[in-house]
Amino acid sequence: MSIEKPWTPRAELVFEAVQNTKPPADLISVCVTVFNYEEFLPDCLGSIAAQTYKNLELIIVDDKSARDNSLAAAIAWAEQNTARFHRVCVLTHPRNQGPAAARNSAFLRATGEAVFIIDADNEVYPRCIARLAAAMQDGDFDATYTQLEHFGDERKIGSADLWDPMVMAYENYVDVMGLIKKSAWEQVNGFSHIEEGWEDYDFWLKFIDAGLVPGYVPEILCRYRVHGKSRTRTDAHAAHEKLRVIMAYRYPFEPVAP
Amino acid sequence: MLDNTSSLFGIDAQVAGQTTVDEEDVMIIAASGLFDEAWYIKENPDVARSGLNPLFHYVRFGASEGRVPLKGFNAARYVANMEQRNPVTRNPLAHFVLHGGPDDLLSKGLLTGFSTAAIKMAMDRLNAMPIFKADEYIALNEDIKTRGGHLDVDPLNHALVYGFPEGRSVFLQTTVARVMGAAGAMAFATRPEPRSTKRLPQLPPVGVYYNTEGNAFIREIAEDFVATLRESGQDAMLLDQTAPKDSRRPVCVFVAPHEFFHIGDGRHWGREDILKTAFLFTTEQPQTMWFDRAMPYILMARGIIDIAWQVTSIFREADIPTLFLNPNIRPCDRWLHDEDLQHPLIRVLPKPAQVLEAPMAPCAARPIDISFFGTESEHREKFFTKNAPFFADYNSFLYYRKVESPLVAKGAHAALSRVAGHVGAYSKIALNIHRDSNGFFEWHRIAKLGMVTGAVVVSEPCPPHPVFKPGTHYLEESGRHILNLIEWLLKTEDGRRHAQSVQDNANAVVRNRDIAVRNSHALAAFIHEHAVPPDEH
Repeated sequence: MSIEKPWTPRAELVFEAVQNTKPPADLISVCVTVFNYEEFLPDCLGSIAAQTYKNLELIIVDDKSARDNSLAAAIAWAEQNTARFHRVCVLTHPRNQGPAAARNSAFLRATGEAVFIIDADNEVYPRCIARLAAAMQDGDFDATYTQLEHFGDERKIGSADLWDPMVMAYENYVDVMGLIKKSAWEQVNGFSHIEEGWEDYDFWLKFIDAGLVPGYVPEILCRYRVHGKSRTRTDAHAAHEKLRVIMAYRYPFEPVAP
Repeated sequence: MLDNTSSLFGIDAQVAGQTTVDEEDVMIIAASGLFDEAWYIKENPDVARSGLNPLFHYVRFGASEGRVPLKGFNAARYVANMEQRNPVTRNPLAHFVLHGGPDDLLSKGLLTGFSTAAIKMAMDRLNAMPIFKADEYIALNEDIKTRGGHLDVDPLNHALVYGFPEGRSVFLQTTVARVMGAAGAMAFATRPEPRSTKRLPQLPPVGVYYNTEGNAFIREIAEDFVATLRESGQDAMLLDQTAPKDSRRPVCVFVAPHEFFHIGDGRHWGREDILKTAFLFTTEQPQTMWFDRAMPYILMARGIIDIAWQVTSIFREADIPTLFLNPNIRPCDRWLHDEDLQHPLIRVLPKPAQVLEAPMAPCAARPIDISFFGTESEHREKFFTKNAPFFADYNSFLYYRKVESPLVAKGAHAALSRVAGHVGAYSKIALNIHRDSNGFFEWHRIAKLGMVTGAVVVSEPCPPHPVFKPGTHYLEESGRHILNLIEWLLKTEDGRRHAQSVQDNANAVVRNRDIAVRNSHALAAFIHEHAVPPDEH
C-alpha cells in the first residue's frame, strides 16, 4: 500500500519561503512536528537555526494543534528566519492525524536526500546535523542517530547504543530523533500509525525487515524533553503491555542474526 | 537401595514383623528403585533423627501420615484416580509400582468427571499448541509455586485442570499475538487446502446445538451452519441445550462452546462420552477469556471447526482435527419478522427503512451513512469517544452496547441480529472496530452483516482471509485514519465510485454458488473423515 492513499488528507501549505538560488546538492531537510507545543517551539527551532551545518531546509508540520497557537507561532518564527534556510515551509493537517502521518507529510515535501526528524518539544546541539550527515555519508548508513540527553522533568542519559536487530526485537532503545535517508523512508513505506503509540519502534522494525542499517554516533547531541505530566507508572505499564502485543502481532518472526 | 532394604531386617524385629503386607510393600518399592531416600530424609529431618530406615519408615508410618516418598508422587491423587479401575488397598507407592503408570498420577483438579486418559490427551494437545508455554503459565500464575519457590505441580497439568476452570490466565498475550501474526504472515499458497472431495459422502444425521440463553448472534451462526450442511444434501437439524442428551444425534456439533457449555442446561453437556465424538464450531478470538473458557472442551473434542483461518493453524499444530469454515452466505432481502416492525430500534430508523423488506440497493440510495453494532470494550470506547464529533455530522446508527455480560441477549435483544441485518441493508457503510488492539477477521460483522446486506465494510486492519480481500471486498484503515476513509467514500466522487465497486465485488462473492458448494463439500468431507462410527461410540 502506498504511503498516500486516495483518502489521505493533503497537508495544507500555509507558509513557504525559498531562497532564490540553486538548491544545494548537500541540502538536508529538517522535519519538525508540532502538536500543542507552542511553548517549546522557539527553543526547538532556535536550536535548528544554530546548527553548524549550513544547507538546511526546514519543514514544520502542525498536526492540527487545538490547545494553543502552535500554528501561528510556527508561521511567525518562520517569517523571521527565512534567511537561515534554503527553504522554510509550514504545513498543517486538516484533522489531527498522529505523529506518523505528520512525519510522512514532511517527508513527502522534503527535497533533501536525508531528513532529520525532531518533535517540537526537543532540541539539538549545534554540531548534531553536521555530525550525523558526515557519519551517514562516510559510513554509508541508511540512517544515523546519536545518544540523547534527557532534560526537563528528569535528567539522565538516553539508552541509544549500537544498532542490533536482535536487541531491537525485544526492546526499542533508539529514539527516532535522527537523520533518515528519504529513500529508506520510501522503501519501508513511511511511518505507520500505531493506535497506542510506538510508531518510532514500528519504523525501526520495518528497517530491520527491509535490511536497512542505521549507524550509531556515540556523541550526546540530541536533547529529549521529559514531561512531568506524563502518565502514571501503572498506566504506562498497561500501555506498554498493549504495545508489546501489537508489536508481537506485526513482527512475529525473530530477526535473523547477521 | 537393596542395602537399605536388607538393613530393614536389622531393626526392631517386633515392629517389622507386625504385618507381612508391609514387608512385601517394602520389597516391591525397594526393587523398583523409585523411593528417593536422600530426598525423603531431607524433607523429613525427624526420620533421620529417629534412626529408622527411611523406606521402612515410609511404609510403616510415613504413608499414613501423608509423607511424600519421592518428589511429585501425590498419593491421595493416585488413590482417587485408581478408585474406579483398581482400588488401592495397600501402600500407594507399592500399588503404583505394581499397577500404575505416570498418567495415573495426573491431577484431575476441577475436571473430576473425566478419565485420566482424557486428561492426558487434553494435556498432550495443550502442550503442542504454539500459544502454550509452561514457563509462561507459571509466570502468569506465580501463586501455584509453593512458598519456597519450589514447584511441585506440573504446570501443564495444572493449566488444564485448574487454570482454565478457575479462569486463570493461561496464555501469554504477546505469545498469542506472535502466533496469530505468524499465521497471518503465511502465504495462502503454502497453506493446507481443504481436502478435495471426490465423492460427496452422506453423513449420519447431524445435530447442530446452540445455547438459547446465549448471544443472539450465535443462533444465527448456528442456523447458517445448518444451511451449509444442507447445501450438500445432509440431514442437519438445529437443536439446543434442552434437547435430550441420551438420544442425541449421531453427529453432534456444538456451536460457540465458550458459551454453550457454560450456561444453564448446557453445563450438563460437557461430558467425556459426548465430547469425544463431538465437533465444536469455535468462534472466539484467542486473546479473550471466552476462548480460554472453551479450551477444556476443545481439548477433549473429536474435532474443531473454527471460523478464523489463523486460529485453525493453532489447533492443527496440536494435532486436533481442524477445519476452517465460514458458513455459506447468500443474498437476503428480508431480515425482520413481522413483529420486529414494532421493535424500538426499527421505529427510530429513517421512515423508508421502517418496512419488512430490505432489497439490495446501491450505496448512494441508502439513507444511513454509517452503522455499527458491537458491545463495549476499552478500545471501542476510546474510538467512539475520540470521534464522536465526526460521527455527529453523519446519519449514523451506532449501536454500541454497554451490557453486564456479552453472553446475555434476551427479550428485545433477541431480535438484535435481525435488526443488525436490516440496518445494514439500509446503510452505505458498515463499520468494524475490533474489540481490542488484536486484529481479527470478524466474519459475522464483515461478511454476514456487511457484505450480505450490501453495506460497504470499513474495518480496522484484519488478518488476511482466503476469500475476502481488503481494497476489493471490504476496506481497511487504522482507527485513527478511518475517518479520512469514511469522508472520502461519502463525500467525494472518486470515493462514492469506489464504494459502489466494493459493494459490487462483495455482492459477487455472496452470489457465487460455486464457493458455497465447495465450502459445503469441504465441511461434509471433514466430518465424514473424522466422525466416530456410531458402533464405536
